[in-house]
Amino acid sequence: MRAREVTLGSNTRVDVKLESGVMMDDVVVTALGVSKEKTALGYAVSEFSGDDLGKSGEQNVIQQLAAKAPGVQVIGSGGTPGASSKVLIRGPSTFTGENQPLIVIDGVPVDNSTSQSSPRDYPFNANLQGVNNSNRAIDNNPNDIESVTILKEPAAAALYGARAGNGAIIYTTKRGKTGKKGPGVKVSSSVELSKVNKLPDFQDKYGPGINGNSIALADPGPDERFDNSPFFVSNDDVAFGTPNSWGRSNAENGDVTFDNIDNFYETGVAFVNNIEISGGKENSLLRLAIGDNRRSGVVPNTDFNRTSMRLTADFKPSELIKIGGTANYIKSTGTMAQNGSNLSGESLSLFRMPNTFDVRNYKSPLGFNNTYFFAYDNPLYSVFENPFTTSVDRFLGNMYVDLDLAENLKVTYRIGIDQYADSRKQIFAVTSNNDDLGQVGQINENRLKGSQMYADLIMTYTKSLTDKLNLNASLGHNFFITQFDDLFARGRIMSIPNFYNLSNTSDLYSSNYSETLKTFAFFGNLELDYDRWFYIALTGRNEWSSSFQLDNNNFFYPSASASVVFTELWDSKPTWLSFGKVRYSFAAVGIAPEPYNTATYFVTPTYPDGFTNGLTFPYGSVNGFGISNTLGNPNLKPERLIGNEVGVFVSILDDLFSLDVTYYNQKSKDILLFVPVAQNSGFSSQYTNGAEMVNQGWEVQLGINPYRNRDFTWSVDINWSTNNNEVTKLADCVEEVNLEAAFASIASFARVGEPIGEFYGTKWRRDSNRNIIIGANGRPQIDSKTGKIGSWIPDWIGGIRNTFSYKDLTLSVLLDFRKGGDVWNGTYARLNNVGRSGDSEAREQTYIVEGVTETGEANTVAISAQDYFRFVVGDAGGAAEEFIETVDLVRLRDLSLSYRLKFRSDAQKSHLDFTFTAINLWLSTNYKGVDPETSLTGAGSNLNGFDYFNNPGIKSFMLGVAFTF
Amino acid sequence: MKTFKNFLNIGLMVVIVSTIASCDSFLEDDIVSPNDPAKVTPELRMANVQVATFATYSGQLTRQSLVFGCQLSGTVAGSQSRETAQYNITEITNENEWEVIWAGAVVDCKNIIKDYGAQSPYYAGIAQVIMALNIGLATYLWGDVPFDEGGLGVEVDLKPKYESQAVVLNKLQLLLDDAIVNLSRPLTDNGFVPETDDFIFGGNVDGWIQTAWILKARYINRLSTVNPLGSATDALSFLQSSNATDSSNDAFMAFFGGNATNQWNAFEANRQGYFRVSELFANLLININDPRLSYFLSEDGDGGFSGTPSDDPSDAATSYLGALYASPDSPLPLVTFVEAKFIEAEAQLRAGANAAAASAHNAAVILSVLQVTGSAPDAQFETDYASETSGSITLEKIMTQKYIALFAQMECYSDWRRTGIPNLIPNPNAILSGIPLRLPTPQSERLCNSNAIVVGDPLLPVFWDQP
Repeated sequence: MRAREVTLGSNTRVDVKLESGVMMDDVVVTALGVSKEKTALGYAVSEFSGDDLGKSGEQNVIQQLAAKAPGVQVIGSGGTPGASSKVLIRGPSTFTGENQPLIVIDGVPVDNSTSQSSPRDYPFNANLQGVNNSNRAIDNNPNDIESVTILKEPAAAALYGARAGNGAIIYTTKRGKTGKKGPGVKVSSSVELSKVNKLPDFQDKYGPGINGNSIALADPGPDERFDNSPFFVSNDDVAFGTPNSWGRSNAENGDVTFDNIDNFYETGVAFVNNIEISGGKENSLLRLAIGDNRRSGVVPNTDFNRTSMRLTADFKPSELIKIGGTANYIKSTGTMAQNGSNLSGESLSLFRMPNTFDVRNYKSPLGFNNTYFFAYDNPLYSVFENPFTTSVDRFLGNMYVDLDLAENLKVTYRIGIDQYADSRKQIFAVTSNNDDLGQVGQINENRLKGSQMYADLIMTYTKSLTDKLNLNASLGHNFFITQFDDLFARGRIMSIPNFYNLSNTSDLYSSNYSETLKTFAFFGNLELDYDRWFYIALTGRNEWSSSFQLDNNNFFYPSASASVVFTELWDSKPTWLSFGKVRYSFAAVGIAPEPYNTATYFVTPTYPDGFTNGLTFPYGSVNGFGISNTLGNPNLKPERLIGNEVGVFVSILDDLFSLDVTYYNQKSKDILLFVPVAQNSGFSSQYTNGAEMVNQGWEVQLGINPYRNRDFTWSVDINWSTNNNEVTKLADCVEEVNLEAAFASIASFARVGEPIGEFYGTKWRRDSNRNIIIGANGRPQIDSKTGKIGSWIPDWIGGIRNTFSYKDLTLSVLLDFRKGGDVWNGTYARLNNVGRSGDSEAREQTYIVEGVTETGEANTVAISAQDYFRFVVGDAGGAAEEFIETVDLVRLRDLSLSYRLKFRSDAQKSHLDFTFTAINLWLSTNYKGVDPETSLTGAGSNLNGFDYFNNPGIKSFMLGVAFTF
Repeated sequence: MKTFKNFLNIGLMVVIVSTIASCDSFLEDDIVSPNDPAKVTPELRMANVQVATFATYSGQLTRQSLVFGCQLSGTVAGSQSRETAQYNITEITNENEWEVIWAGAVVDCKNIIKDYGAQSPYYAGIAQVIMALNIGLATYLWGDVPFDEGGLGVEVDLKPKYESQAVVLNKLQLLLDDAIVNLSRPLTDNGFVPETDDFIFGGNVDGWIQTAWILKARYINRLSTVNPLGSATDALSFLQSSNATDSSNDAFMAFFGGNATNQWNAFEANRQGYFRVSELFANLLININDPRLSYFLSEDGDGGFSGTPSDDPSDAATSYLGALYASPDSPLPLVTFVEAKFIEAEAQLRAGANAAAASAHNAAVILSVLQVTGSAPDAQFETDYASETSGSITLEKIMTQKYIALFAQMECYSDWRRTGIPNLIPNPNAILSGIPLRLPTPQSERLCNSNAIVVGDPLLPVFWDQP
C-alpha cells in the first residue's frame, strides 16, 4: 500500500480513474485515527470535509451533520443560541444509558455531554424544564475541522470499546501545511441575521376572560397568596389575572391590542471571525488558529459566545520518529433561554398572553414582575431579570509519538486530555414565579467540571506475505478515565431584591456529585487483503471497567468484516460498470454499565407524593439517610450490541452514478434497566441486565454527476435511510419501562413489540368499531386505560444536496426530508385550552364532536366552542392522543452561494472567498407548532418528540468573506 | 540504532506487563461511589424512618382516606382530586405511597432493629413502634400484607410472602410488646440513645412507651366487631398500662417549613383547591357551634366557613384546613391521649360500663377542645356535648365526637368502616356503587411478587370490617 495524502474536496467521493489493478485511493480515517482506504472497508462509513460541513452555516459541529448522511439523525432542541443538538446513529441502542455516538477528535475521545443544572434534592426530571443547555461538542470550532468520518456499524467502533457502542464520529482537524512561499494565512469573517422560522397560529380577536366575560389582568408585583411577606408586599393585590383568552371580543370592548409575538422576538445577530496561520518546513509544521463566534438570539437577552485558540505542531526530527500535538483553549459563554414546562418560560408565558396585555410593559415602577396572570412571568421580565448564564473554560490537548521501529513495524503512542469547567448561575428575581418557593427570589450556583484522559499505545506490523497477499496486524492497549464533578449551591428567599449573592438568601442548600469511570483495554486487529479484490479484517478487544465488581470486571468482544471487489473478478463485466464491491460485517460490542450500580448505598431520601415537593433532608436541622430504594447488583454484565451489516457499492459510467446501499440489523442484548421489584421487599427496583431491542434498516447513498466539464459541474448527493426499532424483550414482571418521567397524560415507554420511546398516554374511549364514544354532555370521554398513541421514530429521513459549480462560482442547496415520526404537541393542546390558538378563533359557533353515543347512535349534541377547545381539543380534558401529530417535512436546510476571487491564477494561495448562506430558509410541514425539529428535553435526555412550549427554531442569512494569502 | 530499538522494545514490554499487573488497582478505587455512603449512623436512619412515616401519615393516603371518610371532598380543580372524589382508585393510584411504607420505613426499621438492637434497645424499641405504625397502616388499607418477610430484600428473593390480616394484627401486638420491653430497659443498657433524630419525642422513651400502648389499643380495637368483648377488655387493659393521664406525651409529626413543610400546607400551595373540607364535616361543626371550627377550617371565599358537597365537586371556594394543621410548621397528631380516651369510651361501652364510657367520652371532648383551641369549651358546649351520663351515652355520640376530635387523622375512615358512624352518603356520581372499603393491591405486587395475595375490588371489606 502506498501512503498518500489525499485532500478530500467538496465532493464526498474523490474522482479517481479506475483502471484494472488500481484502486480508489479514497482514504477515510477510522477508529484510533487510522487511515484506511475505503475500498478495504467491510462496513459503511460516511465522510465529509470540513468545507462540506461549513456550508450548513451551523456553529455546532453536531448540528452541522443534519441531513448529511444516511442513518444519522440530528435533533436540535430549539433555535436559541447554544441549544443542544442530539445525534443518533441507526436509532437508540439502549434504554436509559447513553444513546449518542462517541465523539473523537484526532484520535482522542472528547466530552459531548449535555447536563441540566439541578440539585440532588430535586425530585423530578430536570430535563423537562430549565434552559436549553449546550451539548459540549459545541465548544469545538468548526473552522478547525479538516474532515469527519461517521462510523456507523459497531465493527467500525469496536476498537474504541464500550463508549463507541452507538457508533463514533471521528473528527480530523487541520494541521500545519507547508506553503511554497512562507506561511499561509486565512482570515475570515461572517455576519448572520436570524429570525424565528415558525410559530403556532394565534387568534387576535378575543381578549382575556372566560365564558365570554372579561377578567381583569393581574396587578404587578408580589402576590399575597405566596408567603413572601414581610419583605415584599404590594398594596394593590386585587386581581390575579387569567391565563385564558375566552373573554369578550376586543373590537366589541374597544380594547387596544398588541402584537406581542412581534414585539418580543428580535433579530438575532452573529459575528464569526477566524484567523489561521499555517506553515513550516518539511519536518516541522505549525498551525495556529483563533476563532471567535458571538451570537445573540431571537429571544431577547440570550447569547452564545465562543472563542477558541488552537495550536498544532508536528515535528519530525529523524526518519525514525515523529512527534506532535495540539493545544486548544476554548472559552464559551452563554445566556440561555428558559424552556418548556416552566413558569418563567418564555414561550409558555408569551404564547398564552392575552393580546390586550402589552408584553413590553414588563416591569412595575418598583422593579417587580408585571404580567397578565400572577403565576407566569412576563417573558421579557424573565429574560432580563432571570438570566441563566454559563461560562465554560475548556482545554483540549493531545500529543503523539510515532516510531518507525523497523521497515514494517510502527509504534504509536498517543495521549489526550479534555477538561472543562462550567460556571453556571441561575437567578430568579423576587416576584418571578419559577423559583422553588414562589416569588421570593432564588440563586442557583452550579459548578461543573468534566475531565477525560485517554491514552493508547499501538504497534502495527505490515508485511506483504506474497505478491498478492498483504498483512496488516496491530496490537494495542488503551486506558480511559472520565471524571465529572457537579457542585450545586442554592439560596432561596432573598432579602434584598436584585442583589444576587448567596449571602442575600435565608434558605441555603448545597449538594455535590462526582463520578469517575475508568476503563482499560487490550485489543488486536488483523487485516488481510488479497490481490486487491478480497479484504478481511478481524478485531478483538478485552475491556476492563471500574463500573463492575472486581471479580467479574472484564469482557471480550470480536468483530469481523470482509469485502469483495467483484468487478476485479469479473472479466466480462459490462463497460458501464466501473467499480463494484459487496461487503459484510459482524460485530459485537460490550457496553459497560453506568458507575456505582454494583452495591446498594444509603441515600438521603426524598419523599415526594406526586403533588408536592414532599419531605426531604436536612429535615429542620437534622440530616437523614436510608437504604436506597434501588438495589445494587454485583452480578452486572455488559450490555451487548450485535450488529450484522451487508452492503453493496457500485460506480456506473465512471461515477456518473455511484450507489451505496446498506442493510443492517443490530440487536441490543442484556440491556440494563431498573427492573421494578415488589416494593414490600423494601426496594423498588434493581439495576439488571434484562431487555432486548432490535434496530434494523436500510441506508442508501446515491451520487450523481450529471454534468462535468472544465468550467461547469453539477453533482447531486442523495441520502436516504429508514430505521425500524422494536423492543423484543423486557425483564420478567415488567410490562413497560418508563424511559424518563414526562407528563401525567403522556410518557415515553419501552414495551415489547413496540418501538423504543413510543408515546403512551390517555386515549378516547371508543366502541368496538373504533368510534369515539360521546357522553350525554356532548363530550368524548377519556378511556380508563392509557395506551400506545404514537412513536417519535420517523418512517424515513433523507437529504438531497445539489452542487453547481461554474468556474469560481459555486451554488449548493441541501433539501432535508422527513416522513413520519410523531410529535406530542402539548403547546397546541394548551393554546386551545386557554383560547389563544388560531383555531380557537372560530368560537361564534357550536361544535358537534364526531362519534357515537353509548347506545351507538351518531352524536348530535352540540357543545360550546369554549367547551370544545378546552375539553376536547385542549388539555383541560382532551386525551393525549388528540395532540399527537405525525410530522412530514421538507426543509431547505441550507443554500450557499460562494464565489472565489483569485488574485493570481498561478497560485492557489491567494484568493478571496465570498459566501452567502441561507439556513433553514424554507420549511414546509403539516406540524401545527414551532419548527418540529425540536426537543423539550435536549440532547442530555433519552426522550424525543415532546413539544411543550419549546423555544422556536430560527432561519438565518449569513454573509461571509474569507481572505487567504 | 539497533540498541535504541531494543531499548524501546524492552521499554514497551515493561509498560505492558506493569499495566496488566496494575490493572485491578487502577480500577478498584473507583468501584465504590463517592456520592453515597455504604455505612451510616443510627441517628440518620432513625430520622429517615420518622420522616418516611410523616410522609405516609400526612400525604396522599391521608387525603384519600379523608375523602372516603367524608371529612374532605375532592374537587374539579385537579383531575387527580376529581378521581379521588369519584372513588376512581386503581392498582397504580397508590404505588408511590406503598413504596414509601415499605422501602422508606419498614426496611430501615428492620435494619435498625437488627444492626443496633443489641447496643441500643431504645433505638430498636422506637423502630419497632414506627414499624408498627407503618405495617399497621398497610393492613388498615390493603388487608393482607407481609409481616415477617416485608423489607427483607434479597433474603426473601424480593418476593415477600403475604400474611392474613388477622395474623398481621396479632404480630403487630407482639411487635409492640417487644418494643415496650426494649423501651423499658434502663438507660445504662444503651450504648447510645436517640436525641434530635427523634422528631417525635426527642428521645423521651416514656412518650414512646405510652404511644406503644395506645397503638396496641388502637389496633386491638379494630376487632370491635370480630371480637367485641375480648377487644374491649384488651383495649382497656392496654390503656391502663399506658399510664397516660394527659396530653403531654402525645405523638405529633413535626414539621419545620422548607424541606420539612407540613404537607397540608405544601399541598395547597402546589395544588390549590384540589381538596376542600366536606360539606358534611363543616356543617357538623357549624350546627353544634363547635369552638374548634375556626381552628380546623380556614375561611372560605366569603370569609365564613363552609364545605364542598361530596357529590358536587365543582365548588372549590369553600374552606380548607385551617392554620392549626396547615401552616408550614404545624405539627400533626399521630397518636394522642384524646384518641386513647375515645377508645376507652368505646371499649367501656362495649364492655357494658356505661358510666365509665360517658366519663371517658366527656373527658375526651373537653381535652380535644382544650388542645385545639387552647381553652376549655364554654359551659353551653360542655353541657351539650361533654356531659354524657351512663343513661345518655351512645356509640353514636362517641364516634361522632371522635370523628370531630380526630379531624384530619386517618382513624375516621377505619372507625366508619367498623361502626358505620357517622352515616356517610356515597358520592352518587362516583364510578363505584359505594365508598371504597380498601385499596386494590398495587400493580407492582401483582406483576412482580408471585407470593402476593392480590385483591382488585375496592368494595371488598378487609377482615375486621364485618357487619
